[in-house]
Amino acid sequence: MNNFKIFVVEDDPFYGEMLKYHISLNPDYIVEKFETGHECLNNLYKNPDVISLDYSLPDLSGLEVLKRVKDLNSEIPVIIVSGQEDVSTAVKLLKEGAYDYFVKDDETKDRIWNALKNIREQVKLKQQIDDLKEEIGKKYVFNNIIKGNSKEIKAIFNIMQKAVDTNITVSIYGETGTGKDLVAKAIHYNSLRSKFPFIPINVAAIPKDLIESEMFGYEKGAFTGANTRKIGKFEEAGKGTIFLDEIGEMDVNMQAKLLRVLQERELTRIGGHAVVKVTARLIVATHRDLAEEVKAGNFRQDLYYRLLGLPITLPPLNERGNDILLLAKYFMDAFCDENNLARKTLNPLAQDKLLSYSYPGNVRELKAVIELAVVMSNGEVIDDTDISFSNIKNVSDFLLDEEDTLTGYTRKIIAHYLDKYDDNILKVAKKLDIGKSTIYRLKKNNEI
Amino acid sequence: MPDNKLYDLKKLYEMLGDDDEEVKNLLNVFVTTTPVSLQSMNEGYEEDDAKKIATYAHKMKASLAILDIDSLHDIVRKIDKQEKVEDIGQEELDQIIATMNQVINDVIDQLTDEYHL
Repeated sequence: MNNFKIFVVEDDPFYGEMLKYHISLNPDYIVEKFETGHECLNNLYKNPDVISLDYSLPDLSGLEVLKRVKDLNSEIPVIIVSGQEDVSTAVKLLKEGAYDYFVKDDETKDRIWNALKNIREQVKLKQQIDDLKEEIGKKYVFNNIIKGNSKEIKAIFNIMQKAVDTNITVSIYGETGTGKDLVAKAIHYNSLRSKFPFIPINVAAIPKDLIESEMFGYEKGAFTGANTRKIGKFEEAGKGTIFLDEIGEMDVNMQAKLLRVLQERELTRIGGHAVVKVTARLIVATHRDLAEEVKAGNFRQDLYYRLLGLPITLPPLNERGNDILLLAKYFMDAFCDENNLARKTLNPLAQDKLLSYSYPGNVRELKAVIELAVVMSNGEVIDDTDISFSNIKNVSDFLLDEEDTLTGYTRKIIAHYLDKYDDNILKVAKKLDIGKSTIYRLKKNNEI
Repeated sequence: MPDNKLYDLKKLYEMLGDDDEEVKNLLNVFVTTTPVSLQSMNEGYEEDDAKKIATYAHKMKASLAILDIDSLHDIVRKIDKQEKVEDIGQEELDQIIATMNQVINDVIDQLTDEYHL
C-alpha cells in the first residue's frame, strides 16, 4: 500500500492550503482539498482513506457531513478539525463516529500528522486481515473442503450453494466425523458474511450453567465473579455467522431462551437491561435426529421448526462409494507432504480393504487409518497388511459381521455388555432392561 | 518592511518548514481570499445577520491566528459565536467590525508590500 488518499475539507482557503501542504510532505499521501460539504460528499466515490473535516462549513455542518459520510461508508475515518473549543460539540461528534476532534491551534498540524500515521497503520492492518480472510475463503471453496465425486456429495454442494446465496438458517445433520463443522465454515466463508466473524459454539462442550453467559454475555456484577462486562458469542458474531454445534445436547431451559432470542432477533445480557440486536446468521449441527428428539420430549418442537431452515444431511462415509479412495489419496498425499515423505499409492488389496470397512468414525476415522497406514508401510506402495482399523467396534458392527438367529444375537448383545461393564451382571441387566436371572442362567449354561 | 508590523510569520514559517516559496504562495492565498470573507462578514453586519457575521469571523479565525495578528486575537474570538454577537451590543459590534476591516486591510497592504505579492 503506497498511496494514501486524504480529503481535506476546509472552507478557509488559507488554512486548507496550509494543511494540504503540510500533509503532502509525506510523498505517500495524496491530498484533495474541498471547500464545501457537498463537494466532499460528491467525491466520496474516490474512496478516500481518511477525511480531515472542518466543523464549520458554509453549506453543511461538520456533523451533517460526518453523518452522511458514515451512512455511505462507515469505515472511512473522519478527523474533525474545528475552531470550536466546545466540549459538548466534540463529544457529540465522537459519538457519531468521528475518529478524533482537534481544535485549530499551533499543535493541530502535528496532531493531524500523528492521527494520519496511526490511521494508516490501522488501514494496513485491516488490509492484512482482509487478505487473510480472503485466503481463508479460498481454503473453504467447496471442492477444497469436502473431497468427493459421489452423487451424494454433489447433491450436498448444490444445497450448500443455496445456503450461501441466502440468509436462511441452516441445520446440518450427520454422524460424527462427517464434517458438519467444515460445511458450516464453507457456507460462511463463501457467503456475503465472510468479512464478518464466524463464531462456533460447541453446545456439548460447555457446562449447561455457563452456556447462557457464553452465548448472550453478562453485565458487570450480574453474578459473583462477573467483574467486568462480557460480550456474548451472539454479539461477537455481529453480522457474521454463529455456529451452534451439537445443538441436540442443549438443555431444555436454554432451548426456551434461545428460541426467544431467535424469535425477537434481540437479546439482553445477563444482569442487563440494554437490548442488543441479533444480526448474525445461524447455522446449527447435530449428530442426533432432532425430529426423534422432539418426539421423545428432549427437544422443543417450536425451536426445532425455528432451526430447521435449510436442512443438510451429510451421508456417512460408507454410503459414499469410491469417495473413500479419493479421500484416502487426499489424506495420504497431505500426510506425506507434511512429513516430507515420498508420496505413496494403495495396491488393489489395500483399496478393497478400505472399501469394505464400515467407518463408524466416518472421514475422521479414515484420516487416522490412512495416516497410520502411511507410517506402517515400507516403500511407496501401501498394501492391505499396512491398514488396520480401530478396535472400537460399535454394536451394529459386531451384530452384522455374520448372520445369526435372534437367540444368537441376544447372547452376543449380552456378552458385549458384560464385557463392557466388567461382568457386572446387575448393571448389564438394568442397562438391557432384562432380568438378572436371565444373565445368570446363560452364564451358568455357558451360553455366553 | 513596515515598522508597525501587525503580523508575525514565525508560526507560518515553522508550519511550512521554512519553505519561502510555499510561505509566499500561502500569503497570496490569504490576500486574495480574506477580503472575500471580510466582505461577506460586512454584508452580515449591514443586514443585522448575527449568524452570518459569526460564520465569516469563524472562517477567518484560524488564518488570522497563524499570521499571529495580535490586535485581532480577542475580538475574533468574541464574535465567532452567534450567541456572543447578540450579547455584544450594537456599539461594541460597530467598533469590532471597523477594527477588523481596518486591521485586515492594513495587514494585506503590509504583506503585499513586504512580499511583493
